[in-house]
Amino acid sequence: MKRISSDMPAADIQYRLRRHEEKLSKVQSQIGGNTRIRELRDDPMAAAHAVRFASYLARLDRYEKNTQFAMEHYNTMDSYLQEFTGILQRVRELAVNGANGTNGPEELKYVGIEVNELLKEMVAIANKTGPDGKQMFAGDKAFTEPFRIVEGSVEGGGESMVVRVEYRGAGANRSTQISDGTYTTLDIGGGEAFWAEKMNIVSRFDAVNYRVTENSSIFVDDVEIKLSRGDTLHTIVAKINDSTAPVKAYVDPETRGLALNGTNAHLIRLEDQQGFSTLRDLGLIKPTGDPAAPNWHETALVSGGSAFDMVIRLRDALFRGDQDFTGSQGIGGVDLALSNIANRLTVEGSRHERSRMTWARIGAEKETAASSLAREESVDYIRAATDLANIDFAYKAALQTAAKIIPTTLLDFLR
Amino acid sequence: MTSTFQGIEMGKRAVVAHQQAITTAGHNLSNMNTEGYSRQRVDFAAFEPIYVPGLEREETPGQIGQGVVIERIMRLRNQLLDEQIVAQASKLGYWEARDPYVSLMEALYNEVGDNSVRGNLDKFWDAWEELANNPADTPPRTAVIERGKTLVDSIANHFQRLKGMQDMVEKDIVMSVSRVNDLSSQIADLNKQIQKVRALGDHPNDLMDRRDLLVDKLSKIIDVTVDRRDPDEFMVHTAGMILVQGGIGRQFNLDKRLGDEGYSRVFWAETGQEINFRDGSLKALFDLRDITIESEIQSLDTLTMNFIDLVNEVHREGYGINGVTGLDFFVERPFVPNVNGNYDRSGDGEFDSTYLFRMNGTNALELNAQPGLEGTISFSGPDGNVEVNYYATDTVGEIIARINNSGAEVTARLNRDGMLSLKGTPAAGWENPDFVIRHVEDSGFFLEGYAGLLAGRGPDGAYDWGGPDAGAALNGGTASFSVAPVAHPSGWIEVNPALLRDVSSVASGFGKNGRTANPGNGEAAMAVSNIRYSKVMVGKDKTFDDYFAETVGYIGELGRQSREELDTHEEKMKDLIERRQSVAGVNVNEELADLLRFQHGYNAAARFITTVNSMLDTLINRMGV
Repeated sequence: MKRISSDMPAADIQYRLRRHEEKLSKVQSQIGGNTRIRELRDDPMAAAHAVRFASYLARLDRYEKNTQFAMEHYNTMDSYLQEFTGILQRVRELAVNGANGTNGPEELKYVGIEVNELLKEMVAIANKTGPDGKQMFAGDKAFTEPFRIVEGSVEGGGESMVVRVEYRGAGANRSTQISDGTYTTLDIGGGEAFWAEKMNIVSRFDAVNYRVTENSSIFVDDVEIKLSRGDTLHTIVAKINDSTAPVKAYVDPETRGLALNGTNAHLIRLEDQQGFSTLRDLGLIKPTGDPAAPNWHETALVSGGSAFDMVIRLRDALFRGDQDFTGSQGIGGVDLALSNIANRLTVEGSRHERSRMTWARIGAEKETAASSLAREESVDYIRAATDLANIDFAYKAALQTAAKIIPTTLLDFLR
Repeated sequence: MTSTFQGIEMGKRAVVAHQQAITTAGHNLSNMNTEGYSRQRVDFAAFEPIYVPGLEREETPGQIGQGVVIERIMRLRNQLLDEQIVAQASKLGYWEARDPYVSLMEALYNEVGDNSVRGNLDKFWDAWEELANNPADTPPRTAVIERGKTLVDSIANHFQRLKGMQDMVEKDIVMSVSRVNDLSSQIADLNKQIQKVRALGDHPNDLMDRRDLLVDKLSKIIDVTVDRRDPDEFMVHTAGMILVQGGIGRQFNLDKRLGDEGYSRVFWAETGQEINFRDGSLKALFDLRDITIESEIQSLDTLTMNFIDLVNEVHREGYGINGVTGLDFFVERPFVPNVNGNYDRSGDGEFDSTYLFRMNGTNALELNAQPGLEGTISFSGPDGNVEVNYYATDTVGEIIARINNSGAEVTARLNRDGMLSLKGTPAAGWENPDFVIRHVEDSGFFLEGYAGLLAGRGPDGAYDWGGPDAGAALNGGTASFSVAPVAHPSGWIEVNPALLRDVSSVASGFGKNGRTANPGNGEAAMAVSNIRYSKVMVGKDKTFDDYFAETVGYIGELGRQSREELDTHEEKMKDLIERRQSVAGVNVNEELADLLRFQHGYNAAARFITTVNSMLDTLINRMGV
């Protein structure tokens, strides 16, 4: 028989009541704070998962913002490009009307004056900034107007006319992250969007015996191409063709020099690694401290102009009263510019579409992650309420028993 | 012939005995709530009967009973249970002391909330993303700086709280040790008193209760065993030595040693020998201070160290909008000041070691490339060097994974530029500094020619920290390594003051072809923000997310274990105490019943005396002589 000492029931009840109270307070504070993990020990695995989900959610939030940022950027760019297209089409219309054979030189000149105004408007659009005050078409040169007007006199047009438009911006360097390790390019550089013809640069330097003297790099359209000591002209050609630069290199059969051909209508930008002069030695670029285009060597044969060049050519033909040129090459050049910008709009549109889809996907992912997080750290109310009821019942029962049993001793029955 | 007054004498004995029994019942009832009291029982025995065999023996049938006498007053106690309780108490004491601290740590690591190190880190990365989108602006730069400061503050706060906890434990240790010393002398004193009472043949019940209570208290603090084999020399053992031996109570000393961060250890006062306890609250405190909290501080240091190194590595390469480059984003004050990592470890005024945290190779590698090389790399590990073999069929990624899983105190990864990067981790032993790579050696060509990290092969070309200018063994010179911290980085980092002075120096872009970055270039900011999910090896964890999940999970698991152990041991202890109380505890009903019994005995004895008295009255007064 187990002997029960008088303090045992009291100690036992105290111990059990303490346990009940602890459980009660835990459930109460879980419900009160709407968190299942009041202390990490309540569910270490869930706490670890919750931490991951919380970070993941923070990241998704950021990607959502980034996709929105990209879409806004694309919207602005899209409207500028559409505006530009509209003006080009207006120029084309004017040229077609002017070249219908019924107009005399004087009338063509008036058309030319209108085209000249439109040209200025085109440059203004290309130099527009985004809503954030940064240049839209200058790549990452946020504060440099990408197109610079060179003025001069034009036959039949008079003084201070636009004779040349030069690109001063950078390549399409800006991008934003739309999910872990995935980026979308924000830019279409001015040298891409507002170009018309595929460029062709041919050096007149006979370089068949050329050898690279030191390990160095050249940059073609911002793509670094590493050259090794002893590389021949043909090796250089192969390396350029293997790179991601949208340029095809070859050895010109006539000049026996290096020649580059754009694979699409864009401005080819060339640069030597600082302290080296491979491209200069090959007669493609001139020695200049300013690497921004145009920096082609004076002797190199360069062809392939921008949309502005096309319009300038057309305008000059109109000023000259040259109906034939206006009707053929003039309109043809504008058509090239239009088709290039249409291509670029397609690229921009598909980037926009991709960002939109990513944005929608992130929305769905966020929901999933948020519900996972809630599952890990929030209270299951049904369970908590049932638990609370159970514990409460046991607690009350224990209290009642204690109240009934503890005070009774033999003393109550002794006189 | 018996005495005439024999009856009165016998009655008196009975009255006295029962009175004593009643007093003892009263003593029991009075002490029913006294801690450590065990109930006492009066042993009645029949008094020596007459006559004993001898020449004087009367010729009468015998023997004639002579009434009752109290033989002894015993306390009721089960010594086997006492020993079990002493053994169990040290386990309970361990978890009782540990649980509140673990609970404190959990509160500290409750990263689920928003204002945590993790939350602030997330906000910091987010600020860089914002800067990557708007690299030409100043406001995102200010945001990067401000969030950097908040992050540094929260890391420093985390560190201070962990350190504060460690200091609190240290104070507890000092107090516990003085309590043990106190208990040891008290038990020794009681031993002396008990021995004196024993010498008179008495049972010192209350003194023994008191001694058992003190042993119980002692056994919660340290693991003790009790030796009662010699009734005159009660002994208490701990950690293989005798703490109390009869009247001698031995004492502990606290002393500090070099390299213990100013924390004390326990030694025997007499011999100066260090003591290692197995259980009890003191052991729990030592475990907390030297292992649990210390490893969390190390883990926080690992996070900080890797974090600032990774951010700085990118930031130094980037350009601010003012064209400034080469600045660190975070700086830590007590770094090894020497650019070569030379450090005077022994403090004798001469450089004797090299403290390098990170070393980079000079060749860009591909994770999936197959070097086709064979050899054995050896790195510093917790116990001597750890060897990692690589074979001709391995890819670079496989070799790196093998290094990271080898248990060496070095981790490997490819950095942003594809260079092999080795980083030190916290050291397991006190004797080695944290975050210092102590040995790198390769018998083959992987580290030397392929990765371009070491300048030579084999033992001659090995890097070893045990000497100044060990960096000379590395291929890349000073640019390829960074030095290690000498204090806890988590407590001592700050955002570079040069950036605070001019916010536009915060780097956002990478320059191309040796030129300053264009103002709209956000590549550097993007590279910083990419650290958040890249496999950058934060100690043994691959990514920052892994680190936080791992840390939180680990601390939670410690808490869960602590609660479960505490519950189990409390339950066990409760059971043992109940068993002990079942033997030694006072039961009111029992005592009251005894009281009635003894009262009746007393009454009966008194009645017997009256009867004898009236018999004598008859004999003396009524006989009418």
